[in-house]
Amino acid sequence: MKLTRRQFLQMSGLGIAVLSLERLALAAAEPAGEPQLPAIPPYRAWEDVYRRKWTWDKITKGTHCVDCYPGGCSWNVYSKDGIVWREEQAARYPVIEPGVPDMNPRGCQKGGTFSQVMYGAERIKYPLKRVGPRGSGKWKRIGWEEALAEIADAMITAMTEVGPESIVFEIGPGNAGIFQVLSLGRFAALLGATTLDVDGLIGDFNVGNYITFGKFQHCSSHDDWFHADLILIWHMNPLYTRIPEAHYITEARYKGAEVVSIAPDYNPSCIHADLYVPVEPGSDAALGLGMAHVIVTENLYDARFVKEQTDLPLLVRRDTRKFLRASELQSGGREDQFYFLDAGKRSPVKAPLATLDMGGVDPALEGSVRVRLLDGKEVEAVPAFSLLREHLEAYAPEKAARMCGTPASLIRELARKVARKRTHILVGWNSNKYYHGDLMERAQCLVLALTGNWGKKGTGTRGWNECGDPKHIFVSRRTVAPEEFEAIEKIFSGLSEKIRAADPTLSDEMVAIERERLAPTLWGAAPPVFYWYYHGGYREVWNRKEWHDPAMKRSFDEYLAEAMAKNWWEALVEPAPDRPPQVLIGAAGSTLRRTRGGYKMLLKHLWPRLKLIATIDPRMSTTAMYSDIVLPVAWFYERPDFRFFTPHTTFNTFTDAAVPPLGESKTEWEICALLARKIGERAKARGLEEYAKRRRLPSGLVRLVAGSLGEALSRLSENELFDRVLATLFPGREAMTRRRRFDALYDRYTFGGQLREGDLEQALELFVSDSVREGIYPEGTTLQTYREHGIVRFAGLGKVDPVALNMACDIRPNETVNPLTWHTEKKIPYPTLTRRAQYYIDHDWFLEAGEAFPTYKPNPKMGGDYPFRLTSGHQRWSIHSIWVVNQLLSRTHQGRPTLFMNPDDAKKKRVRDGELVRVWNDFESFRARVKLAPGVRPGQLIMYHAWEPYQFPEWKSYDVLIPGMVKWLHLAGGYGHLRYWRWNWQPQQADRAIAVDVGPA
Amino acid sequence: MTIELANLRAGAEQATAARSRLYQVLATAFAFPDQELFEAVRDGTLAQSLAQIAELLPYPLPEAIRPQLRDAGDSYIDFESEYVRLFDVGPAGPPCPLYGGVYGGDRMKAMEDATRFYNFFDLRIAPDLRELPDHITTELEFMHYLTFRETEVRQQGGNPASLLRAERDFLSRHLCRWVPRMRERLAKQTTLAFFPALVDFALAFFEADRAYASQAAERCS
Repeated sequence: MKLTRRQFLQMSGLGIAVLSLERLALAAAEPAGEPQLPAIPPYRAWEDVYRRKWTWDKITKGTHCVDCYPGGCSWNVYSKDGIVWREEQAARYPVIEPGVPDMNPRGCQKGGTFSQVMYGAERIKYPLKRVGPRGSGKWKRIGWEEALAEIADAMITAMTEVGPESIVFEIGPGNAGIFQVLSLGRFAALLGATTLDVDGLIGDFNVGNYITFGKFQHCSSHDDWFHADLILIWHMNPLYTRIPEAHYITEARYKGAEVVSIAPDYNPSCIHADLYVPVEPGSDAALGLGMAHVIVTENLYDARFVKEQTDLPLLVRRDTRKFLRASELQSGGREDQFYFLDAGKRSPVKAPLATLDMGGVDPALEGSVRVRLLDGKEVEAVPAFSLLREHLEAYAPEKAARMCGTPASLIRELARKVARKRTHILVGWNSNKYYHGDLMERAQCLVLALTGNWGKKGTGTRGWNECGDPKHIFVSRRTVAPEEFEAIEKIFSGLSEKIRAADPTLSDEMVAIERERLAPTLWGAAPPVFYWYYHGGYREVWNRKEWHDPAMKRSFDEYLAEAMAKNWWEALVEPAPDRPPQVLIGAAGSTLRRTRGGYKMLLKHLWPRLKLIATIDPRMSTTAMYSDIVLPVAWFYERPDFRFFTPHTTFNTFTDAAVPPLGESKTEWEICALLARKIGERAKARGLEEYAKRRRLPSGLVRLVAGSLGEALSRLSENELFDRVLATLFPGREAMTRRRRFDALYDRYTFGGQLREGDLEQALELFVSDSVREGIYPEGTTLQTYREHGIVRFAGLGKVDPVALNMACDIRPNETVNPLTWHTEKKIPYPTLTRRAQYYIDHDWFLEAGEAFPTYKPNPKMGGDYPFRLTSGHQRWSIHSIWVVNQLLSRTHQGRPTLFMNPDDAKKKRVRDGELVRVWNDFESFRARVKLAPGVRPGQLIMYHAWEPYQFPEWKSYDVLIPGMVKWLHLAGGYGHLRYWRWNWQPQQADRAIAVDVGPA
Repeated sequence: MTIELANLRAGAEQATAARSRLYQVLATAFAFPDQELFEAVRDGTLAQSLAQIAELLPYPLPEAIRPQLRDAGDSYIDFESEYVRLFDVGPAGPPCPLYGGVYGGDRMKAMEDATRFYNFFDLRIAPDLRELPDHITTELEFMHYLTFRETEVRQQGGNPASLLRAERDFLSRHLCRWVPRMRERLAKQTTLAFFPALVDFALAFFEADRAYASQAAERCS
């Protein structure tokens, strides 16, 4: 019988000694019956314990499912006695393309110290409940039952009193294996909760790339960098952020490629370049347009590529500055039918919709034509290229030089190089974090278009791509039966057929995107911008016109009101203003650190409204510190999972459960299952049976089935219509219904009880087999294949996921991957309004803003009228905040938040190296130690990402003075590709080039 | 696993058993406190237990027994949350973690060193506990084991020199190395008097026991 502590303490007896072991056990298995203690070995000195050879219990494959891009490095993980002691790069990457270096070894110092991070003092090991005010640091340990009951109770109250949409999930990438995302995503969808779009939350949406291509999720594989003749490192610092891949830059250089680094500061990647091109922070659009000017005026452009692949030959009306549309020329003509000017006939001719193949027509890039409209009016129309030539006049190198600080001679030199060479632009996720980052990226894309630099090896630009997994199947599955796969595919193909029936000219990619656009309604995905605006207090900030672009003619509120009135964000405003958020589930995302200005704004405005904040995280983040309940979760070596799948590496990477989860940690899979069951139990105890999800039916969905519902449509009530539409499109998919039963949640989550909380392994097996069915991995691939090899190379990217189709290329077994070849080689249209790479956006708002073409605009004074510009970038020593307090890595640098500053500026501001300084603007202030570095551009301050607020005095990090402005123009909609879908078109917060001042603290 | 040794004789056998028991009681006292431990602190049961065992030690520890060992505050919630705040959870970790490896040097080397000691004596971390080898309770339990085995050897009339040397070395390389550093951090915290008093008691014991084990080892060699 186990003694209680009191009994134990009161035990007495001089004559006895009792050996009691709880934390240690005999190494040899104890035989049944009386335990036998081992013989005592002779021990002379401590060296004796080092004489026995150290052996491993096992060596497993591992990776780190953290927000590292691309990550996916395969490691050998060495464990013994239930502890992971070390890891080592597995280095099992085969040669893909003969003559191109392989990817070995992959892995950096962060991966190599993860075993230390997982045992760091910041690790959470037990469920915790707050017993003091939020943020007081006063906790008590609680059991899982109590923790789950607390969360379930709050959720049930929210679901019944406000609606399930008031439960908000922020599924962060801090612990993001595929199964972390799928577990939480499936659970949130079944609940009917709101899941905030992760790209909108993080700000990892390359807006300008998207505006150009109608997608940003396309990238070449790293080994394809080797094929470039000219590498422009432009908004990337690969020596910090792409350590495992940086060797390709060096190897390309050995092969003869020229490497150019374009940056405001002489950053650590610049020393590896042949040429450093300085640029003022945020002025890259002027540099790009200056280059475009040179390429156009010196006739260096690739006319055939421009005519075939871009919108530049399309006719634009001189009077309205809008594209000439068929709807203006013929009765019943399409709004999205545009025209070339036939170079031979000098008359307008329809640009084909279903192909980029010009079919014998030679579109003119210059000239003009007079066109009689339906209403009899005669107007002049010119190819967009002509307008571009006029537009570029403002960017002659000498003029551009004054805007961007790059010498005119260098602009010319660079432009001529790009025109001559197979060029690849290495963009990280830096450009898109500027307020006018869209303009910078559009200018970069313009340079590439003019020089024909994408769709072939060694060329292109990059956003991100995360595909190659059948998420839609896993989230939609009701059972594990193989036929369920077919049933779901059938639903998806049925939807596709309906979409295609409405417009047979759409490409597969466009159909898939349109289908995805219908999905947020069903899964509860929502761009976070409205959540911040209505519930996070940002309305007031975003209405400060002086912190926006001066070209913004109306208030933010007015633009938002117009966007709402025009239904551009139909069914996407969640939680709705009248149904405020009640419960926040934060999963390894740390919203108080990550949201720009969030520590100030969200704590003040959102926190008081929330009835419960629960954080599911392996480590005590700042947000966890401000939560009500904290649940410990298994980390990367404690659960089987996959890294995000991405064509950057072309391999999918597996991590195994090398050791059991520390303390009482559980996997997200198990947590969600237990929570689903607990909700059923607690609701039953409260006498509750079902709850209702609010109707959110975009008109697009109704239109899709209006024909099949026939005349009944008009007689249906709103509720009936919702149910009928969903029943028609998604037969038998209870997860999408309006009324849901509390007691069905567990059954649904566990695939009808077939994959319960303890069945993660089987869930992974199902996922792998679905991936193989989808054609993503070679026939015969099983979980065991992953277990043995750690990596499996893609055989394809899947046929359903629009993000996979965004790559628009085939995966070949013995070649590097280069995207967009379906467009350049197969002449398949782009998913933009004009179905071409689009440089002219004739949306009313873009015209009003003067941004129809990529243009240069100075950084707005976000934060006030101050002389310095605060920039950022990922640091070398941590992936976001996961490693920032790791002792070992901290000893390799200053180990604390550091502000980098130019010594001349420091002198003027009377600041000494190492001194604590104060940085401020009209929004907030923070304090940090300064590091003087001549590589920093005068007028620039650099604070690398992503220190925890608790590492700063008063817990005020540099994030706190970032007002988190969003560019109003990104609220535009109702225009071809300028419409939201998962991870795409949406406003995101700017955090670069913040206006600040600095001085001694 | 529980094993009893009965009929211990007065003198070295009982004194060694007392040392073993004190490590065991300290492991209990440093473990996450349940309501019972809180009550046992408040009503003096723990202090009394420590005092009673201390009297049986082969060396004096009178000044280590202080009235503060009863100062657990008024509520269990406050007591528990104070333990969590000091030792368990906090930004970048709690102020005074109970893991020896975090106090300077290489964490993994500290864990490895402890594990090598455990393995040398044919022990390992309990598979179902999921606690780390350098946690204070694990290290205390190991000392409890070594001293228990020493009691056993003494009772059997054997030579405990190996165990004494191991006790000396493990204390030097672990508990006596890092607990003083933890105490320094604790000194910067405003907290219930119990926690510093407990650490002070433990430190006094570790130092005295190391000296004892060292001398005894010399004598037995």
